[in-house]
Amino acid sequence: MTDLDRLSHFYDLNVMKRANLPGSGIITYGGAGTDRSILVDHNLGYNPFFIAGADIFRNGIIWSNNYVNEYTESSLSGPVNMFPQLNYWCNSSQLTINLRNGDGTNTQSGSADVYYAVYLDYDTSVNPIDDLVSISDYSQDKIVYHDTITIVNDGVTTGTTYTWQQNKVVQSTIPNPYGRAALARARWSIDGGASWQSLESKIVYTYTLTAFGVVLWSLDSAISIGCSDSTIYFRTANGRHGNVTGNPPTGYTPTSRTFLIEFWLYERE
Amino acid sequence: MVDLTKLQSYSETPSFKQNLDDVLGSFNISGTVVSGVNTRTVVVNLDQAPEICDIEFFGRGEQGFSTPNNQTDPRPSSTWFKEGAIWVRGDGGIYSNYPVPFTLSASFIGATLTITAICAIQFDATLTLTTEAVQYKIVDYVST
Repeated sequence: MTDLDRLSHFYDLNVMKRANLPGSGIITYGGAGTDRSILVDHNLGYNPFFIAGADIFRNGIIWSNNYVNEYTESSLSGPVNMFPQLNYWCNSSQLTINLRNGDGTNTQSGSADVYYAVYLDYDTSVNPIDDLVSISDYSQDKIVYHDTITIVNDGVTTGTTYTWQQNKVVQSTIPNPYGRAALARARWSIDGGASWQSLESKIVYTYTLTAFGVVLWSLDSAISIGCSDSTIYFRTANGRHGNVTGNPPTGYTPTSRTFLIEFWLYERE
Repeated sequence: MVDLTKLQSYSETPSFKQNLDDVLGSFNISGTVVSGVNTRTVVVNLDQAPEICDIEFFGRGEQGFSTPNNQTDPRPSSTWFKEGAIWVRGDGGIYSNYPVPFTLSASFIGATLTITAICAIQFDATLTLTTEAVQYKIVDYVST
């Protein structure tokens, strides 16, 4: 059945059209903590919008933003088992996708698939005729699934030395009805949808070690979204708690967070 | 010349479409930072409430500082990015040309979007910042 709402004959909004690029690549991990990148020449001559995702752990799950974990925005210093980090940046001619390897038990080896898109038209110098969807020959971001999920993360467990410097991660999954690993766009909220965070946002707060009068910071909340052929993964990180009492500091009360995540899946390439 | 073979008249699936005109702007990070969390916020009033807001930032990376030289951020200066920090020079006490990262986030309530730059300082000092400009570019999508 034809859905008339999806006719685009008369569209007056710009549609996200991808520059004609391969859309995927491979990064071979270096040693623990080292950076490896791929460079994608788009040569558009202006600064476009762009996205990237990566199969960070080489298990078929594509993460559409950085992988939140126990140490995200933590004040812990020194060696910990850092997770790999996905970073990417762009200028008027080139997109760079970077994977920094983790360390300790989270050191990765082998090669990771990465996916990316560079979008046309996001610059005023582009001829407006390109906004017309009816003559576009570029790939577009088709939305293959859209849903909302709620996850309760009750926060870090109290009573253990230094756990107050870590986040509690609660991961939930749902089946991927599309059946193919995809990228995701999302927004999320910890106040029931009164305010929304962009996917990449990280909320930070401060607390006090009362025995010493020392003010430290920690992550309040952040999320990541991953997707495999069969499953959609939602990671929530919650490091929020009250002031920490005792010497050594061990006493604190975690703050439960209810994450509302609205997400859209779209083709990876 | 319009290529008729490329006409797209119907799609079975919806696609992301740009909801608002690009919003370009900039702000400066300046002043001082002290022990604890230091925050700078910028409020951007959009023409209408966004649906899925996407933001890119532009500014200095972690290069050109004297100490320490950890290179925790691989992003070079003069590039756009979606997730990460702007690096600002701080000076004060025993710290000279010290790298001060402000991590950037964005949230929105209705048509009001707030960009937040957060810097956490773990040591007891007051650092005077050398003003650093941050550019931002906002795009919003509708999904229907």
